[in-house]
Amino acid sequence: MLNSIQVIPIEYYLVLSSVLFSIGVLGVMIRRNAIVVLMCIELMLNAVNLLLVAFSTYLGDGHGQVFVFFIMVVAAAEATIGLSVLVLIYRNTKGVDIHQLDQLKH
Amino acid sequence: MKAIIILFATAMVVLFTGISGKRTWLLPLSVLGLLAAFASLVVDAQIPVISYGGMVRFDGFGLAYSGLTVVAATLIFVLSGYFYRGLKDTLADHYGLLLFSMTGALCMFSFEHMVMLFLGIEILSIPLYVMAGSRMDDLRSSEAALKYFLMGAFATGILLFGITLVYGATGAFEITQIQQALDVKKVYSMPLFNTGLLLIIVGLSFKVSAAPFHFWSPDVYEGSPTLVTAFMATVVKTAGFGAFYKLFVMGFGPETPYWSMTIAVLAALTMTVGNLSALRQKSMKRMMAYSSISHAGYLMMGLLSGAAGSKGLFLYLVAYVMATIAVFSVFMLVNKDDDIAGGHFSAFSGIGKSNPVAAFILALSMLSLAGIPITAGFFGKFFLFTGAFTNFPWLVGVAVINSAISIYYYFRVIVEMYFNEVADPEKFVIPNTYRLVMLLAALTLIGLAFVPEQVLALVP
Repeated sequence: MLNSIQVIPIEYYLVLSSVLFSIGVLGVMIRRNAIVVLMCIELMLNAVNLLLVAFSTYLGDGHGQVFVFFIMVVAAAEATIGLSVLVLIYRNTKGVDIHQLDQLKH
Repeated sequence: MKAIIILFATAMVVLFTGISGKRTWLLPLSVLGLLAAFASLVVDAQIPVISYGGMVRFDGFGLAYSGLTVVAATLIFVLSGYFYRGLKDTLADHYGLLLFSMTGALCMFSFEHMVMLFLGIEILSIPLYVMAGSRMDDLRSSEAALKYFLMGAFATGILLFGITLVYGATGAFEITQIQQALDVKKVYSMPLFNTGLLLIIVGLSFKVSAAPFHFWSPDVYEGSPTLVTAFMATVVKTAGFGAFYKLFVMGFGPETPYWSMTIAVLAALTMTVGNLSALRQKSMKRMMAYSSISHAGYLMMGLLSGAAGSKGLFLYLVAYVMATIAVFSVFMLVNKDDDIAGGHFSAFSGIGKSNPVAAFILALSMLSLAGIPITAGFFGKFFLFTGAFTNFPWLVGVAVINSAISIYYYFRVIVEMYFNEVADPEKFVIPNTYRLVMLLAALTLIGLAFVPEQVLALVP
């Protein structure tokens, strides 16, 4: 019996997740604003979540969906740390442009 | 397993002790907790302890590597008393975060399930993002924290995508079931599985700072407070390679080395890039950062010698960790105020005359890092290189050439200390805690030459 997720072939989820993931990776590499970079990392993690849920449904195995919860919790913890580091930097430089941060190696 | 709980409980107790304002209790409490964790590891020895429905398994491998990280962390905590002498209110937070980070390292040696690997890496890393930026008045420390955080989170995303693709191909997160899928379904010929494997390699390479994913580490090592740098260079590196070995050799299997060529190329690239960049450095901390990158390259050779590789890897890690701790303990004394700009090689000029003990320890560690015979580093290199020789003779050739190159920059420090005459070299006080750590490190670096077999026997 097909459930509603399985109506769409798994390849579609694979392609969608890969595209989302690649957008995230590109964003991390080319964007200058640290908050946007943080959002792109979240996009990468959400692409992973989507693919995990899809695989989990197709394989008929619950482990993948439980993994998604762990990823969400860790992503929240990471965002907390990341934003507090950004606040620290904003207080010093009045900006969150990562290209301004070149104090090291000089 | 008990060790993880003991470390976590210690961290909680330390945090609450900090709230009640008993500053002098914090260090003894933390060290006591670490020693208790070490004792529980010794008690558990030789019995595989499986817990949490088979998600955590402490066997001989996990115990030996956990023991090494706990010892390294204990030595770093002993050093921290003098290092954090100026810190008033936030000392408990610092100790608590480092202890939480340790629990993550232990998860990375004992995981049987990808969730534990992922959680271990995150529990190890997240406290360290904070610790890297713990000098809040210094923008360079915040910069190090942001770079470490962004690269760490980015690497986690890549690692997770890899884990997901491997899950899609094998239908399992448990290492034993992945092995079954490899044997029965022959998934290693599937593009899905191979892409996943490649992404996992990239993710873990970021964590152990292997080239070409190493670019964050010199900045992070330089900007972080030196004590945290020492923690990253020892505990995090050991944890990264423990997880790497456990996942690839014990998980994805030594019999079918379909991934070994990728690792071999990465290893050759890592050691070459690390060494060539280290040659050009003028700051001690940056030099140590690039030196740790090149050591990551040598350590990757331990993944290529099959099931026996864990022994050579362990011996090398013992030598590397002890030498690195000794280097950073001397560095913390020379650069008393932990000024980022003050870590130039010239700070070491003439200390061979003014501080012969510290200079001797630093020289010994440099010899060990360079792999000069009868130091521990030589035996580490010897076992790693012979292990990888049967499958990858060309890689051993590259590694030997690289070891020769590395002698140049390690000896530059020795030359600076003993042969560079300065009018009035500063004589610094060495606290007793530092004497103790230096003595232990020196004993290990020399003593390992006499008992390499016994150390190798610790790992199955």
